Amino acid sequence: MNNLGKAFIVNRYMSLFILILPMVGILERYGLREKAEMLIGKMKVATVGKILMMYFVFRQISAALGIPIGGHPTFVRPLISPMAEAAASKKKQLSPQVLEKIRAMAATSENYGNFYGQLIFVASGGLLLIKGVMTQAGYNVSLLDMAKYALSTGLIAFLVIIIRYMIFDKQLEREIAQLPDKEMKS
Amino acid sequence: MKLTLEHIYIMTGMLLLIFTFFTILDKRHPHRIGSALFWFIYGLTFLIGSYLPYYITGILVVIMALLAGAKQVGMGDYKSVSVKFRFAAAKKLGNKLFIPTLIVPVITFFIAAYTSWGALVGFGIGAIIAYIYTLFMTKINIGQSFNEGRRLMDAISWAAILSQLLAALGFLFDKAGVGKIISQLFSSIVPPENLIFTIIAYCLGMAIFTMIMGNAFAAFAVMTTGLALPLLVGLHSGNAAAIGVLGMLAGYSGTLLTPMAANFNIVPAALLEMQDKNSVIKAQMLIALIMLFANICLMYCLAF
Repeated sequence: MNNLGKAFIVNRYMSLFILILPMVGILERYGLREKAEMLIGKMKVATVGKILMMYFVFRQISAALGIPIGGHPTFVRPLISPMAEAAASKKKQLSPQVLEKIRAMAATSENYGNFYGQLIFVASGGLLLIKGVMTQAGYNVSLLDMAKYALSTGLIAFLVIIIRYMIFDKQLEREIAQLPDKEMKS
Repeated sequence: MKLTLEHIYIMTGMLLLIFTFFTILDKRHPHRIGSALFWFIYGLTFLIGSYLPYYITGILVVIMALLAGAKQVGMGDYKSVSVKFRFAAAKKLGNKLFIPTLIVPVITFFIAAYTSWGALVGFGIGAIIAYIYTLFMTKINIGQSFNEGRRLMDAISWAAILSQLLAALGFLFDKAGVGKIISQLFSSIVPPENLIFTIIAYCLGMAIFTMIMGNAFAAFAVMTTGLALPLLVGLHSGNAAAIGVLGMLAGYSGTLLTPMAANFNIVPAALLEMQDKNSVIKAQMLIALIMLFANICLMYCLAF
C-alpha cells in the first residue's frame, strides 16, 4: 500500500495534461474543430495521411534537434486529430469505427516522431542514460557515435512510416467511399 | 522566486477541486456524488500529496479505483452549445482560435530552454497563460469555462489516473526483481556462441521487459548489463555504442505495444475519447514489429 501511494505521487507529472483542459474546452465551444474543418476544406490536397505525415516529420525533426515541442494534449487532441478528421469528412459522414481509426493514427504520428527522433539528439535524456549505464560498466561510449547509430534507425523509421501513412490513405479512401454522404449545411 | 513542480501540482489540484465544485452544482449529473468524490480525492493527491504519508495516498488510490469500478464517474450536463453556434463562432474568430494552442508549446519551450525551471513547469505556466488569453479572446463567463474543462475531464473520466496507476505497477514490478529474472531467462535459453540468436534475445528481451515496465529507460539497465554487455560486447566484441542505442530503440518497439506505457498509448486514447482504449496500440503494432526487426538487422550489421 505504501509503495502504491509513493509511486502514484512520484508519477503525478504524467497527468499534468489536466491543466490544458479548460483552454481546449473553451476553444472547442467556440468552434475549434469547425475552424479546422473550414481550413482543411480550403486545402485541395489535404488528406488524412498527408496531415499525419507532416506532423510526424515535424515531430521527428524537432525531437532530433532537441526542441521539446509536441505532445498528445498539446498538439494531437486540439489540432492534429481534428484536422485529420476534417480532411476525412469533407463529403461523407464518418462512422464511429472510421473515426476511431483516424484518431488512433493521429496519436501514432506523435509517438513515432517522438521515439524515432529523440535519440538522434546528442544531449537527449535517453543517450545520457545509455552513456551512464555503459560508463558504470566500464565502457566508454561517445554521445556523437550513438546519435549517428540512432540516425540510421531514424531514417529507416522515416521511410517505413511514410509508406505506412500512404497505404493508410488508400485504405481509408476505400472505406469512406462506402459511407453515406454528408448532408450539406446551408 | 523559483517556480517548482510543486506549484504546478498545487494548481492542478485546485483545478480538480473547481471541477469537483461544479460537479456538485450539476443537478442533472447521474452520478453527482460519486464523480465529485472521485475528482475531490484526485485533487487532494495533487494538493497535499507531497505531505500525506504514502500509506494514506495508497488508500485514496484504492478508493478512486473502487469509485471508477462502480461506474460512479461519468458525464453530466455542461450547458453546451449547438453546432450552429460553433460554426458562427469559428467564422468570427477565424485563425485566432489557434493562437492559444500555440502559446502552450512556445512558452513550454522557452521556459525549458532559457530558465532552470524545467519543461514541466513551463507546460504548467503555458497552460495558465493560454487559458487566460482564451478567456479574454472569447469573453466567456469564467464559470462556463470551467464547465467546458469539466466536460473534457468527464469524457476522459477515470482513465485520467490510469497512467499514474500503471507507472506505479511498473515500479512494483521493478521492486520485485522482474528484470533480473527476464535477463537470466533469456541468457539461459540462448546459446551465447550464436551471435544472431543472442542479438535477437537482447532486442526481444528489451522489447518484452519494456512492455512489462511500461518504460524502456527502466528496462535498459537491467537488460543491458544482464545480457548485452557480457555476451554481445564482451564475448562477441561488439561496438558498445551501437549496441546500447539500438537496444534502447528495440525497447521502444515495446513501448509502442504496451498499455503500461500509459502516457503514450492510453492517455491519448482517453484524450481522444476512443471507445477502445487499446486502439493506439493496435494501430502501432505493425510498425513496432517492423522496427524491432530493423533494429535487430542494424545491430547485426553495424555493431560487429
